Amino acid sequence: MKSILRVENLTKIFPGSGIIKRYPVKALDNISFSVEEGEIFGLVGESGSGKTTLARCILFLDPPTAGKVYYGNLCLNTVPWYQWKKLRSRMQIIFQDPNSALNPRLSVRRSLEEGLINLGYSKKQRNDTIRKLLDQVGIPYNQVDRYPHEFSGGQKQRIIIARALSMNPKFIVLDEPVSNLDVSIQAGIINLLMDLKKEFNLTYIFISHDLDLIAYLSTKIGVLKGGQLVEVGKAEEVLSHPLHPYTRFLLENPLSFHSKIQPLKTYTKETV
Amino acid sequence: MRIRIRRKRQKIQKLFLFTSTVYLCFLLFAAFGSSYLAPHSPTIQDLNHRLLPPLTEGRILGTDDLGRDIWSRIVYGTRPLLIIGTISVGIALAGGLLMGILAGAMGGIVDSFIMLLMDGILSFPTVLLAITVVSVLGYGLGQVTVALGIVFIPVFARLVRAETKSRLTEGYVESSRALGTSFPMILLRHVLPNMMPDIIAQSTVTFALVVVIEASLSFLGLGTQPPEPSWGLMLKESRNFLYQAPWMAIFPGVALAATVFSFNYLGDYLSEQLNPIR
Amino acid sequence: MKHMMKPIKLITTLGLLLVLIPSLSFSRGAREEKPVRMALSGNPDTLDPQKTAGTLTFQVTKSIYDTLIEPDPKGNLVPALAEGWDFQEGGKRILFRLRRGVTFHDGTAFTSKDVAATLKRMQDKNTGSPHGAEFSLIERIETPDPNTVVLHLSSPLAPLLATLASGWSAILPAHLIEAGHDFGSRPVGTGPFKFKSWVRDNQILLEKNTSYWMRGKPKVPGVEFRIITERSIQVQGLLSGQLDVIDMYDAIDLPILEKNPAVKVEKVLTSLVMVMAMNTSRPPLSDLRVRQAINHAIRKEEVLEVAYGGGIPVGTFMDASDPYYVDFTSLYPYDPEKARALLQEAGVASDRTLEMILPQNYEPHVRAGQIYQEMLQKVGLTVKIRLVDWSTWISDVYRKANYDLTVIGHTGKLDPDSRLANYGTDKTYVRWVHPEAASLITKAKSIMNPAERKALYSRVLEIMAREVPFVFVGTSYRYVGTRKDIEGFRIQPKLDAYDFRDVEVR
Repeated sequence: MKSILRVENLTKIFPGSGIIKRYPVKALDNISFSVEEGEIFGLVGESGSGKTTLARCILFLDPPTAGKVYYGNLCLNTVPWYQWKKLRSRMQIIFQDPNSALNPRLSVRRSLEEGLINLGYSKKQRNDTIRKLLDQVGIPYNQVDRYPHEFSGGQKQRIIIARALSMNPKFIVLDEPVSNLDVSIQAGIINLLMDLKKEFNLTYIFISHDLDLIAYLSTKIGVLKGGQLVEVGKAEEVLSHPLHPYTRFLLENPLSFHSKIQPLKTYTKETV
Repeated sequence: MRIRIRRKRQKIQKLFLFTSTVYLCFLLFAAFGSSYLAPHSPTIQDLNHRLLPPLTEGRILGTDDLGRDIWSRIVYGTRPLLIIGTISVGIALAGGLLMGILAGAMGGIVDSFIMLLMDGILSFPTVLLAITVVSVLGYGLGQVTVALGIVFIPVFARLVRAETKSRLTEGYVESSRALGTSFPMILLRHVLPNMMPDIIAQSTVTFALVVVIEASLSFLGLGTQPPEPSWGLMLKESRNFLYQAPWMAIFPGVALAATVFSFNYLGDYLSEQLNPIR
Repeated sequence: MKHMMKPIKLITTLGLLLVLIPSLSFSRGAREEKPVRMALSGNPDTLDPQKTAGTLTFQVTKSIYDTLIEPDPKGNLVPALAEGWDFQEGGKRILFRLRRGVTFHDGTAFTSKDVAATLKRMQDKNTGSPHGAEFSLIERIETPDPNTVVLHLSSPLAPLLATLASGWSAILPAHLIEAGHDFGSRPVGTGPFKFKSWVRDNQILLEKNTSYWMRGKPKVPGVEFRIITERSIQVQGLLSGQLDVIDMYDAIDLPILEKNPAVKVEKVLTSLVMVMAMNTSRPPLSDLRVRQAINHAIRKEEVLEVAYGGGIPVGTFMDASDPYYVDFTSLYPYDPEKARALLQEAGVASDRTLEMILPQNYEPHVRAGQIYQEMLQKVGLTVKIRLVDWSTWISDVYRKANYDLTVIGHTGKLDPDSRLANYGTDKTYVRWVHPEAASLITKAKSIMNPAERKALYSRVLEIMAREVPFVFVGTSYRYVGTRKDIEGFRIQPKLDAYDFRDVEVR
């Protein structure tokens, strides 16, 4: 299989704050993995383990301190700023909180238009694309001129997914896309994401603190702890023969792990 | 009980809002149509009719120590007031936007430097600073306007900087970057529009302050020069006639107080109403 | 909203003033044994008479120190610490016979040594007196015995007696001068009252000098100067009986004071000459016709009435009550037609704008300026007003003559030379150059014969009245408000000095 994304020895250090003396924080430490086309790479870790930082570093929304990221054969570290605009369309990201990811002062249409304008679409092309996208994510087109606060969290996330899709990406980083949503609608969003993956032949990096969800979705799993990737491998292997004690601990104590964040949920094939 | 109190308060608020708006509309009208409202010239003296009390010989608010019609002077005084207010706030806003966005968006040393400068300006008492600027730029209305503009730049700069900083960390800005939108476009599309309510509110409040400080500068002899009508100057001239002709002080004082109140009230109201819908 | 404080503050200041005035706490109590309380319009910069030109200082020091000679209320010079004096050698020598039995407040006796030490201190450059130059012709001071002083002058100097009668010639004790005593904050003199205390910007307390050389004076136990800058507060203090004497330069509050039966107001002519000064070095004001036109355009009575609370119009550079005054008011009567014609003749363009600089802290001058502006507008002369603070006025207008028109009042002087010195040369702020006038003024300085002197000054005043470097507006009144039970308070108008020696409480 062809590798679409390769991360080599990625390290991220935040300078830290303080007036007299600064204590740098090592958020990501020497992380390497690769993702093949069509895969779902599940990244699991507790809060504070560096999941979101990793997502942002991969897309160079926040450049890594050291290490390299390859998109296909292209090393992203060497891409000059003026070529990023084009490259951005290849890779998209969906954030955890749908409420802040949409500008409250822009209508759905104007939010969706933004990327299309960047791609140089004409007005008509934009309207057609928006109609198609909204249809695909299950939002009625007649609501296109409404504002974000008129939609529920799940609907917002659908709009955000539509916006990501509008760029025609090759892979999408999903940073806890459902954890801020009601349990009742999480399944709907997960289903939508799976359908879209099939339809557009997408590759996902799926980040979550929920090992059950990761286990259910992923073809490959990475376990992140304290900024280090302690375990990475094929999903079945990691789940059945965890090598690292932390992974074992996670598998044995699902409750203790996310009790701090939210009540345990289980996903079964039936609910999906 | 509580509901009744709340209703009462809402009623009062509505009344205040209505009165403020009507008063400011009146000011605007007075500024542009002074000659329709004022029956007399604001500057021509009538030494035979000095210190007339209100409502005598067709002088609604009486006359001052040189026999000039107080009502006409108040009406004609609105024009310089509003012009100075508008231009000063414009200067302060433009300067504040530039400084604030630069500081907020660039961060680092640029931010530290700009904010040090702004805090330095802010740490001076406003009137004193305005006097200093005027004494550097020279006397006159134009200079006072520019001085007041400069004096209030930091107020806007701080607001804009804080807003820029917090907006830039919003999820939608991050998403926008992921969509390949350029940084200037992000500022234009996502950052600026979202701080507009606060800027509008701040502008109205600043307008009120400018009006007051212009009056105090005129009071100190730095702003409007006699015999041009200015509320501050009228207050200054009234000082010696507090016993003989209290109306000389009362009416411009009331007009000034009402203006400040109206602008402040409207500013508070707008900032409440225009806050981004979540 | 910390900014909200400012508007509230400003707007309510005037209102608060009204509310607060009556509640200001002046002390009330039994009348008889209390000192006389008078409002002083500002804080004196010092109480050392040799270190300032400030009127406020001399208003206070008049009660603490004495001079060799002093002016009576009419301006005649009468004996004080000197019982008599003789001119010798055509005015080049002056002999003073000193009063015996006078003591300073600290108990030491007053002798000729004190006079010599005082005059020497005045001449000393290190003292830095603004009036030091008036003593420069004194070459030598002789003290043949404790009660005789002889001054040797390099040339006769007519104004010297007036100088010696002025507040800045107050006699200080020699032994304290030698000790480097700080007269500025702890004055010691021979005067009717002893210095007791001075709380800056608040009050100055003086107590009766029981061994004063004038028998039976002073009659009150002391004087309290209350420093109150705002005139309206002074008025309120007098009305409520918390002040005994106030001194006002305008008549605005007169009706209120006159309504109150416990207060009486005396109208006294000042020795001020109110003027609108013209910078004669600048066209078009360098053209005599333009200055004449401006003079014809002004209705002096109206300006005096509205801006200065009434007065007597004058036509030359001397106050109406001065013995040297000559009436030239008929030279330039109010005549707008003639003013317009003169302006046309002089070819003053109709769009020509003159700038009038006004000292913004002097409300009456600002008011007068606006009246002039309108009067000049009526004859076709456009005037733009610019307000400046007092220090700017002194440096830009009075020193650098950087102005077209300005409005000011010239204070009174005991000797005409003090008022006229330097006029006719380019050293004055009107920049009016007239060699004849200048030489007459210089000449009159050394003429000892009064009649001859008067003739010279009359000629000078006529030249000035015809050449009009100013609009000479008039001499204003001052209004002295006292409680009904106060008698005998006097103001020496030429020196603006307050005299409490004859004050009695009935």
